[in-house]
Amino acid sequence: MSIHIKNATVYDPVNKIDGEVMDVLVENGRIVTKLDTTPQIIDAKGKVLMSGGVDIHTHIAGPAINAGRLLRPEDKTIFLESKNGLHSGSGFSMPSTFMTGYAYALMGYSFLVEPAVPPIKAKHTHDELSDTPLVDKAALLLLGNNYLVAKNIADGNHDKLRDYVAWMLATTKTYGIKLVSPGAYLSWLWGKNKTKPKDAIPKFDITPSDIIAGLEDAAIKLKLPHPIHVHLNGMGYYGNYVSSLDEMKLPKERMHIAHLQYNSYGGDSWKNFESKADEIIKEVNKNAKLTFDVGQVTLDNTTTLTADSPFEQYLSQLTHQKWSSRDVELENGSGIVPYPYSGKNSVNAVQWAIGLELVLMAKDLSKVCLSTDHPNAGPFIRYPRIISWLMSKKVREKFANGLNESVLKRSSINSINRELTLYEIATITRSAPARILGIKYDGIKPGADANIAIYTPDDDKEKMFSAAEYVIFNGEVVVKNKNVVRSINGKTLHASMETKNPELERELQTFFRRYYSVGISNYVVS
Amino acid sequence: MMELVLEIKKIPKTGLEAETIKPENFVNKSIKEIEKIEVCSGNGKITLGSIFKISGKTAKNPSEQKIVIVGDASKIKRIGEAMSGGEILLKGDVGPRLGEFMVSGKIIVEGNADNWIGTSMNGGEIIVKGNAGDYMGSSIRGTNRGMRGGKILVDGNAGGEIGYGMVGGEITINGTADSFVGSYMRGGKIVVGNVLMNRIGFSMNGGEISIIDKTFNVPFYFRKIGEEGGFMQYSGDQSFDGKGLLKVQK
Repeated sequence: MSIHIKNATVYDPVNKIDGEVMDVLVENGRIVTKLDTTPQIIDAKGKVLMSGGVDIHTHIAGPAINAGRLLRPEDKTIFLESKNGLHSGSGFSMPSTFMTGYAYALMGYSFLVEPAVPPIKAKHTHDELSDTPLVDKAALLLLGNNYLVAKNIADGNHDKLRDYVAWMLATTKTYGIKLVSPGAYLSWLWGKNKTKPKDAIPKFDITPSDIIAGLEDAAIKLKLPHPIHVHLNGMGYYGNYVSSLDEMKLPKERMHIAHLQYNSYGGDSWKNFESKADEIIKEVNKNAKLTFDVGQVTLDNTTTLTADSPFEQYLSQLTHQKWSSRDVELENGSGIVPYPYSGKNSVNAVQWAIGLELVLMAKDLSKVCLSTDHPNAGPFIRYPRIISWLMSKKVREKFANGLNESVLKRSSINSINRELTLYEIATITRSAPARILGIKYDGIKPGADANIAIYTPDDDKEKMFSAAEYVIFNGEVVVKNKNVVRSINGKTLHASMETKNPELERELQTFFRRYYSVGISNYVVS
Repeated sequence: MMELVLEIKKIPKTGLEAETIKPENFVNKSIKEIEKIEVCSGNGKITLGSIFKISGKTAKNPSEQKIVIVGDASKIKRIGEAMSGGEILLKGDVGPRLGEFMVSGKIIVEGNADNWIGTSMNGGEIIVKGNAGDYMGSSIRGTNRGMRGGKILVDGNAGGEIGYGMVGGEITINGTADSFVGSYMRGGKIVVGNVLMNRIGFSMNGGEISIIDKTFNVPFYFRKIGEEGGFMQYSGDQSFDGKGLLKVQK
């Protein structure tokens, strides 16, 4: 099947195309220079064309989000009815898998990264990812609190650590390494909390900094396409910007920081909580090794779920909300707490401002990715609203004035005049995350995968980006006139690893027999 | 008030999810148009016309519309969900989730009502002449904010967990209620003739429960604070701040 898109206004930072009017031809899943068959014609005169969106950090599958769905039946009061032969679905902050795929496709996204897979739950995650249609996917493996990782680092076995990481990535079919508050969960098991980068981890003679250095070393040696993906220590606590700055100076080559908004907090209590986005972004601007995604708070009734169980315990005690905490044998923990963000709350209002400040004060937007850390800071369906705040000072000023007055006193959001252009929005939602992930992503040029979104321009940017006029995924029209019309499955990427360390495998056999609840043959994702 | 009569012909085995049956969906429509309104049943949809024999008149605005349902509606769920005015009269029994999230208006059930009636309702009035089921005026599953306003009156008996997490409004039960009346209650008022099992007002921290039965045994987590108007007064749940009030007739 071929498609001829006529006179589209193209924004593609990958190929430095900024608002050029051109025709785009699609055949057999790729963008081509000429067509061999009679095409379907799409008249895109006056419409905005971008390549498919990339979300670098969104919790869409796996045991944590599934436990969240169980914990919050009240989240399911929003329904999607089955039509055009598509699946029905429900959920607001944690929609069901098919609904997730459709909703992302409708906004023009085509690549998602599930950033937190406990290795033993990889099978479950892949099961849910294969039920998320209309997008390509990848998953990152949680290793920051893994017993064997910590032990190998403590013993100084860096080659063995590299082989173990390679074996884990191959075994679980995942794409890269994720660290969630490295060492914090290992310390929490011994009753310690708020672990800082230089605090010693009980029973191992190491600190979180050693874990970051060790896993970065492994990632470099294995030539992983995506650098270590780090959720910094102290996430979510007031006054955490000092330890965040320390941790941001650690990487030797590259580090991606997840939801940086949660690590840019000043103040020494919730009463004088304030934005330190300026200090944090200063470090990001001058340190070429760092990239980040935002974790923008959207002020919705959402669910927080993270592998940082110590923080979730704290949050449930702070808010008296229901709490689910899990221990994933030898590998990690996870916690889930519902959280209704409110603009009337002085802390939440400042949190809202911090995310926007980080994007608007960044010098080089190719280091910045748009995310809400779905569903932690807000559901992903709010991306269009965030774009509207970023693109118009008037819109965000009007919104800020309706919030708690602390937002004006304790952040500098209203003094920022910058308004992002469509090209810059395409950067933070497309080219930047794709480059940081290291996926094959050629934007709009012949030979590239035909993942395309066409939007109808509107002064109301939220309306414009909420639903694309047309979305083409793998060369097929999947969204037409702002409606999902068909469902096709995307692929799941994983790092291709070769493991040849028979000694390690023998050791793992014994280790699994002794300490795991499953045998090694039941652990492998095939 | 304009009266529209829905006479039940036959209800499919799978029952109905009939959140579309409420006055504001019927006003300004002809009988033919109303017959075409869809309700969910099983994994599909059927029209009202295939279930009901519809007759009567429709009004211009919801507050003047009265819907009368004749027959046994115990397999119909979600009647009057979030309704904002008018009146629904059920001549027989009715299924679960009647008047959920109701804002205003009036629902009268001449038979018995099932579970979850008036869940999380904000206003309006529900009157049940027979018995009612569990979770009346409570919160929906997962939250702890129950009924916020309005009135529910039950002539007969009621089930368990009445007014769970209730924040406002008024529930009156003339008969007997099952266990856990007013647990997690933080406002509003419950009057109940008697309770079958105890654990009344468990974890309550606000609001008021009155019991007419003189032989009632006050649970250990309430503390006596005095008497007034023929009622002994107790505060509780004492394991919380004890802001709730329990009244037992002397």
